[in-house]
Amino acid sequence: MKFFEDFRFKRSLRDKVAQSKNEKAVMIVICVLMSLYALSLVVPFFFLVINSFKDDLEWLNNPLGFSTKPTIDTYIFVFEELRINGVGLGEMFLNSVLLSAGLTVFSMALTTAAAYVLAKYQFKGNKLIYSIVLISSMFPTIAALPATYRFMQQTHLLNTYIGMLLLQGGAFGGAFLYLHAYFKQIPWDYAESAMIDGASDFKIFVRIMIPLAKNGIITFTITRFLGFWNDYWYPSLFYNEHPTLAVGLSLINEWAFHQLRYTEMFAAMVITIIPVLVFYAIFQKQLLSNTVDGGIKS
Amino acid sequence: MSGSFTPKTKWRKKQLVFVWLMLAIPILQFLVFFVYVNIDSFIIAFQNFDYTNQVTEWTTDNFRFFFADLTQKEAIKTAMFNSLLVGLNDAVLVIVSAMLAYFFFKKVPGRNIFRIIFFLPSIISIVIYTMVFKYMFSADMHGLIPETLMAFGVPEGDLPLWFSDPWLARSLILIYCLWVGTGYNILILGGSMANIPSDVMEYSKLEGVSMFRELFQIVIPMIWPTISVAFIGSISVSFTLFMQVNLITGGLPHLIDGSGGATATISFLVNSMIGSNRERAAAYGLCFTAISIPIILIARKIMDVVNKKLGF
Repeated sequence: MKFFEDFRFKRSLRDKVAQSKNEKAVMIVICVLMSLYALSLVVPFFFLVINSFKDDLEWLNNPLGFSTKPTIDTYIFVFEELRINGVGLGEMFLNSVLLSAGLTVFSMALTTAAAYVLAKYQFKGNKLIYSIVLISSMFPTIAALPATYRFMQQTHLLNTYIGMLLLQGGAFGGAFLYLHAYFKQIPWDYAESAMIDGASDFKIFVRIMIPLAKNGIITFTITRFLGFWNDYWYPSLFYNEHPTLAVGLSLINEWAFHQLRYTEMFAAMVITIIPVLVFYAIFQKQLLSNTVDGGIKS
Repeated sequence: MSGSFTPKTKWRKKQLVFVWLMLAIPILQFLVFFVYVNIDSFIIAFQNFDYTNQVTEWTTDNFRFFFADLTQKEAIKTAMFNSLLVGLNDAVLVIVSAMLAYFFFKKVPGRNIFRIIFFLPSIISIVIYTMVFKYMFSADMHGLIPETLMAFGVPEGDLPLWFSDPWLARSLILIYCLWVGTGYNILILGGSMANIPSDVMEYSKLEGVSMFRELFQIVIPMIWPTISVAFIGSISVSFTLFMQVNLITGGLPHLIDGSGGATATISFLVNSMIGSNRERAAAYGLCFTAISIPIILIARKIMDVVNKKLGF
């Protein structure tokens, strides 16, 4: 009996060693696969960068290698001469900054305000508003765009800044649900004592509640800003007279296709990617925490 | 409602004013850009704008066209087929990502670098990502893929016609979705795996459970709610995906009967009609919404049943 148990123990130990060896091998294979995949996500940008330093002729003859006589003429051209419908990269950049900053501030203010009062005040209609918001986010809207376009046209909001704010400044969405849940679990005691001291409701909201929800608000502000910055579809439909970088780049793509000036397009792409990468480097923690790291830490 | 506040009568009026001031713009915005616009879609769908006389007339033609096109022309059928493909592709993406996410969660070497790179497509605009994607495949632009094929001796005339062959163009869109989506989904699903209680994972380690069993019998059931949300998302994707089509193929190549594009999805079809025939676009959109609602409700029901069986 003793012998048998010993034997069984040894065998299970041997199995375990074999198993962990197998698992190590699997891990290495997965690591290689993921490395290849990660490489594929960055390699195109490598070619973008090296080809942006060539003139079109050199690029034709040597599409994959490093330049033998690198030039920054492409960049100079993009900065100084490139105009799409009379709009240069600088103006597109400015349009992007103004639109995304305005939209972010406006929509975050509305989101925070709505989430707060719906979480903290009981009044007639509170539950109704909340359920309508929840249900409306469940279904895809395939049909609403033609009517939206007609509305923007009829109200002369098409291609206006204020029109974009109203159209895209909606309060209800993922950030609303998060902040609603967050405000809900903040104890009201903080406010109560302030109220006894005579603070108004608005003061309590701004001075006490917003600072408490600071982390969530900052994270969503950063994520939203990036979302608005990168948005292509809405500005291309409703704000195309003032092209943002995303809209402008797709126009530059068409221009390069017709003029066969691809290396200039590469240069324009590199220029527009740089600010985004800087933004990512600075706010990496917040951007990843929102989705990846299992939620916002407060 | 823990921590919420029922105002005493003394403050009541002031507080109501505050509440409605805070809610006024959000609700107005919602009423106009969600409620009104969706109601107006119904109205538009029953209208026809007569350009010569500049008058709007009431009609059911737009819906009649939908059903006539559905049986007689390729465009709608192709778009529905492509949408189905895109949805299935997304479901496959979820499954593959869930498995890869497990290794990510088990701390695959290089995890911290992968984390930063996998998130890049969520940082850089879809306009740029689709542009570099096209660039890699385009023979005209001397992209990496055709150049590599040529280096391996494929003659220029035999290069795959990624953008003009219907099936290759379709696969381009599916490949793009997998390409940018896998990393993101690995991060999301890996993130939800990190929330599995640590004693569960410790127990499995002590018991010497194999990776295979741990993945399928512990980890996937534990994060099933997240996966089921992702699957319902796949259905949404199939009804709403169009940007990728718009930016990669523009719906092209043309169908043989000339009624539309071979790579168009439902949403692309509707959106591309807005400029030319707004009323018909609205009618088509409504028809597709009518199709999507029961599908999504059924899918949610199925997922609820599965979730209950798993004990959530």
